[in-house]
Amino acid sequence: MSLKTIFFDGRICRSEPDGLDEIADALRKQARALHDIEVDELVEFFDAVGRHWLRSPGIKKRFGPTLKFLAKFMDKGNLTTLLDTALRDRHALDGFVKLNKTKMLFHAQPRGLTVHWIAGNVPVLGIFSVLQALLTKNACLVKASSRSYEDMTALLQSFSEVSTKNLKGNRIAKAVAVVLVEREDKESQRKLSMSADVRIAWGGREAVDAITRLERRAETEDIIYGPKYSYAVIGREKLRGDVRPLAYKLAIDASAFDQYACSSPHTVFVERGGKASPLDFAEELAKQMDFVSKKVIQPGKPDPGRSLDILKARNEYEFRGQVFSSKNTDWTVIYSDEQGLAQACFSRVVFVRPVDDISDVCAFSGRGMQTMGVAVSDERRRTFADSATVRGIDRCPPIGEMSFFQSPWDGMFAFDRLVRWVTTYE
Amino acid sequence: MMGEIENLLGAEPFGMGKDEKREKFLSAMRESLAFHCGNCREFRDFCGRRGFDPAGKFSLEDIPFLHVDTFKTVRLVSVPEKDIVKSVQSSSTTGNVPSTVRLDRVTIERQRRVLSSIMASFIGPERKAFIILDSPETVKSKEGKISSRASGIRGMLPFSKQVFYALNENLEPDAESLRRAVGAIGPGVEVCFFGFTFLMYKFVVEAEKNKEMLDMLKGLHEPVIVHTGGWKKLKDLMISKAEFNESVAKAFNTVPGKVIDMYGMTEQLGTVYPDCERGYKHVPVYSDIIIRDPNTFEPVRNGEPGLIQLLSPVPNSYPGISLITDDMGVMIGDDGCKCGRRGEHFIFKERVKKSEIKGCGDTLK
Repeated sequence: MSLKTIFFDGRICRSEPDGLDEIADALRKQARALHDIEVDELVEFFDAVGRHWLRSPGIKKRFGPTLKFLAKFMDKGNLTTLLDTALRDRHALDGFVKLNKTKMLFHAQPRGLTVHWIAGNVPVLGIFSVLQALLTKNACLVKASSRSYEDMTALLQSFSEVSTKNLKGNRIAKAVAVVLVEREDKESQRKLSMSADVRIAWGGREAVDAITRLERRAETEDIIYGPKYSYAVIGREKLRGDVRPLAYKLAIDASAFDQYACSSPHTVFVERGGKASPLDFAEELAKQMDFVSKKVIQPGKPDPGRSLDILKARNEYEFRGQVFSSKNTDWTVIYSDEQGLAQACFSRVVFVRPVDDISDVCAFSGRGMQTMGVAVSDERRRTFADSATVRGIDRCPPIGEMSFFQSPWDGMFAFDRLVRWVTTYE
Repeated sequence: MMGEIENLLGAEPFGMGKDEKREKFLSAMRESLAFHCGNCREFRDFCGRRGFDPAGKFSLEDIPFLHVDTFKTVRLVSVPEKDIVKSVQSSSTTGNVPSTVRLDRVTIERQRRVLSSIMASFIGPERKAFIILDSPETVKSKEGKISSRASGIRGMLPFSKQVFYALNENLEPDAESLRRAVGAIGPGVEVCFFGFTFLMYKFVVEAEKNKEMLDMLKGLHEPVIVHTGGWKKLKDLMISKAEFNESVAKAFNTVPGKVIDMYGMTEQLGTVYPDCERGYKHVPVYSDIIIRDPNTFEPVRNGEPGLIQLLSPVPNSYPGISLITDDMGVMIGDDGCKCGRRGEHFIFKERVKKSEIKGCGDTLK
């Protein structure tokens, strides 16, 4: 069957609902029900869900350390800050509010039905767009990946296990449906697209191109989380003392999601002139990659093709650099004097490259870049970040927080894109 | 005094079981490792970084391996430049850059000897009429370099009494050339067709549409068909080995058991692994194969699939003596194949599929 419903009406499906049209109609009804829930109640609810996940053995086992990223995002304080930053006042989601000194009143109305195309490699990132859509009172129709939909449904099903003072989880879970659609099923893909008030696409170039080419209504909004490259930069002033904590944080960034997320660093530029040399740092990073793979985040098993890519990269740099690696494919640190961004190898392969000055790295920035982890002194950071971001990169978080999902992401406040701003007057 | 490598190359190709061969082969590899570490600084450093001492105690499994692609990016030689007499380039079917290996006379002579011994076991010692399914243009060297196809064809010529080419310069079947070849083959001379797997398949597809060519081929009696070069293109066309063997046997008027697929690679020319009548590839005494787990790189047990590692002391001018490939294989047994050949036998499974990244981390190229 080319279309399969996995999650609908707040639970994992045992029997098939009628079809995409019926699913979309049911979700639109749920969206209208969401409209009557106050945003602070939704925030309370998702805060409770995050804490529930951290306590739930099944969820903890399935997601491991990744769960901390999710729970941190769902923390009440974080959500209210993110919503207030993106929407100026989160209560604009509940009704008309004043946002300036004029007589105008502003209200952020949900757009309606959001349709999400989730990438198979990092399904957890996809849940972030679902959470943001629900927080802005939109219903969600998720086209999941056949190889990783269980992660998504496990999280959604657990909504029903949580209740807050005013909200039963099942009510929120009913606002989400998950389907599988075969790539060749053009008609179902078209229907998904035509039903969307917002299309949200996570994925590689081929996938997002295919989605954006689908027919859609003129008023439909697109939020595209396409293919991106990320890297890290370390200034010489951060190499004065013990570099172990910094190397550990970078190892976490490079190990989270096994480097398959758009926010994962592939190249690390280390400025010369510090107490520790770039090569010293590479050696310490290797130790921390080993520690993280053994004690903190267990590596996934790459497919044979990826293993060969790792082996080839190691072999190539044996002769024109220095290679530090596990005996198996768990992790690799490759040091070389080359300039520029290394071709991403994935599966915890980090290229360490020295630079004379961190400003040299700005030339490598571009619109295909997403996150630049930064360990640079306060004095230099803003100027440096400004030079890099004007060329295209979107985020400059501290090293150790590269894979924390934040808003904005990919240069967008998704909360803002998920609402229609409507006005009246005092 | 004869060296260990020379001793090994003088042995029958399939006359020993695994255990019997092990010490002799290890001694030859020890001699080869000492030579390359002594004469190729890059290789010596590579071994050193792996903590491997060629003068120390080690087993075959401990010998560090290079990936075959290393010869695409790194120039590795173990003899003076003046001793290099030719360079051979791979077909680079899985990438744009070909591997280049540089050969001296010692290597070429060793390659000739091992190829001759191995092939004699499969096609017999008598010279045959060879009809090459390729163009005569292919065999010519260009700017001192020859392609792996040319090298493969040249390697077969010592087994030939007569040589003919059956494709034109566009690599299309040439009925006129085939007619001349069939007409010129002497009475009682056995015929062997040799070609690269995909070209052979193309030839068969064209021949099946051409009654004149089919009739010519039907006039031959059970010729031997030897092909090499890999299955990638046929796999893309969803053609299985069994289907290939059947259609080739039918077109050439022979039996599937006489259709021989030969596994080997440019980086270790001469050491080839032809199919026996049972469909297994045999490891001669001149080389060894270790199947390794693609994640741990540890050797796997017989019957388990893994990456194919090739070991051979034949290369003298370059240190390509322990190579891991892009190919998956399964070791079937250490000895006792019913075809009568001694030693390890294995099957080639497939070229490892290129890994795809489909998520947002599918970074821009």
